[in-house]
Parts: sequence; structure tokens; C-alpha cells
Amino acid sequence: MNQWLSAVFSHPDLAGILAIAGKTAFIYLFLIFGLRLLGKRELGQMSVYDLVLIIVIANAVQNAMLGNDNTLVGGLVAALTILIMNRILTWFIVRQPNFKNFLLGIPVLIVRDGIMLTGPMDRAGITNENVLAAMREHGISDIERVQMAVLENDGSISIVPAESPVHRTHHRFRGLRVS
Amino acid sequence: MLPNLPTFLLLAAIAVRTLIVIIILFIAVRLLGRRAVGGMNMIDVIAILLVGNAVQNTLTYGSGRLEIGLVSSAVLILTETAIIFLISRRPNLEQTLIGQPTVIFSDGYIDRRKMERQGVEEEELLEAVHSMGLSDLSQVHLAVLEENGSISVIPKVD
Repeated sequence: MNQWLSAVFSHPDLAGILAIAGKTAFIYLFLIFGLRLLGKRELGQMSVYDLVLIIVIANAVQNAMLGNDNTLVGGLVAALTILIMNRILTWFIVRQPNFKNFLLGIPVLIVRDGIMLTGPMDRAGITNENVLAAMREHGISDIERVQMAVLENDGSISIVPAESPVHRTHHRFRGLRVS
Repeated sequence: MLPNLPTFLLLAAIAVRTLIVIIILFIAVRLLGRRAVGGMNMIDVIAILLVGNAVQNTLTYGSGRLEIGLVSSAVLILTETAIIFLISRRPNLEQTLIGQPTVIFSDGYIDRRKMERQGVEEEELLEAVHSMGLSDLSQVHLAVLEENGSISVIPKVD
């Protein structure tokens, strides 16, 4: 029984725990910045190949995180390290717009008053067909009837039809303070 | 290295470990996780995939034996089923475990404190407004952050 319990509740020594936490944190940051350098920011623009790449990388770094450790505590330390790092990064993203823009990109205007803005579209890798598909989703067949189309951070394209009433504001966020 | 145990005890150890890991992860994600899954981004996807790999050796002792993998995944599926069953029986439990909808914008008033606590950004709110085909918040009656992380927008009726 004792032997069984120690097989279940195994744990590395303190140095092992610190090593796992440190390596895991480093790998997480390394992957984020590495993929950022490759220009992979917007999730919705990720192709299946990009997703495969990320899954393969996650498997490739598994042993680097844990070494040969297969204890209960070791795995939990690695998992909690990642979740805590994610929380910290999210905290920064919410409070530091510059950091957020650097890491995740900003929404891009791709159609303005019925005219496709080809420059921003090319840079974001959006084709005419992508825009037309988003319009059809909103039940709009004619681009003349699109007041504004925005490529959002999550990669989706949102469409504001021309007939919706416009409330002009000086600045985007001024629009939030409505009387 | 597999511990030197008879097969039955080994599989029991795998089952208990899997149960401990999934429960701790569930609690950790509840406490640490950003609720706005709808606004999931790059760093969240990487985190999820890495967490899955991080606990892999713990679940299986790094062993590729078929029966170990089967026991481990069976426990995962059963735990998930049990949690869903419990939640459907007791709606109160759902509020504690998963959270409840939060009103983040109501008739001209934007609740920044709630948004900050939930890790929702103004841009995400505007994204939701745009995807409803509205151009800005003055056309919005109510915006609610749902439990699944999406933001529902109810337009003003003129």
C-alpha cells in the first residue's frame, strides 16, 4: 500500500521543481515570441498548416519542459506555470495597449463606404473572396451597401451595413462615453 | 520509468493520478483562466496545447502501453461526463464552477471594473458590437459577457 501511494503521489525534489517551472516558462515565452516573429498573430488567419505546426512544436518541447520526470507534482508544476504565465500576459495585454498591439495585432479597416482598401487587405492576407463571404454571412450581396468592414483581432471580418445609423465621434473610444 | 507494481495496482494508480490532474487543472483554469474564451488569442492556444503536453507524462508515467492510455483517457471522459451531469442537476453549481453572465454595458454606461476583472477589453466589446452590424455603442441597449466567453449585444430599439 505504501509503495502504491508513493507511486501515485510522487514528486521531484525542490531543485527539480524549480527547473521544471523555469524551463516551462522559458519555452512558453519562446514559442509566443517565436511565432510572433513568424508573423502569426491573428488566429482566424491561421491555416490548418499553422495549427499543425503549433501542435507539433508543443509535442517537440514536451521533453524539454519535463525532462524524464513523470511524477505527479512535476506535471502539475509545469501546467500551473503555463496557466499563471498566461494570466500574467493577459493582465499586461489588457492594461498595455502597445504590448497588446505588438503581440496580437490591431483591428484593420478593409472596406470603407463600399470601397475595398486593397493595401491593408494585401498586408493582412485577405482576398476579395474573404470579404464577399463575410458580406454574404450578413445577408449583403452588394459591396455598395457596406459602410465598413473590419478585420478583427480574432481573424473574423465584421461588416457594418450602410443603412445602419452612424453616430460620428471624434475618436474611437470617445464613442464609449454616450450620454 | 514505470513503478514496479502488479498490473491492477498500476492501472489504479494511473486512474487516481488522472483524476487528481484533471480536477486540479479544472480548478486552476477556473481561477486563472480568462473567461473570455470567445476572445481566445494566440497566447491562449499555445498555453492550452502546452498544458496538455505538460501533464502527459504524469498521466501515463511516460509509458506507451495501450492499457495505460485507455485507462487514462477513460477516466478523463468519465470525469467530464460526471461534471456535466452534476451541473445539469444543480444549476447553482454551474454558477460556482463556470460563472454567470455579466452585464458589461448598459444604456450608455460601460462597466470598466467588471470588464477588467473578467479580462475583457474595450476592443473586444466593439468587435461584438460590429459583428451585430452596429457601428458604435450608442446604438447598444445591453452587452452581456456570457459564460462561454462570447459577448451578446442587444441593440436599442428606436
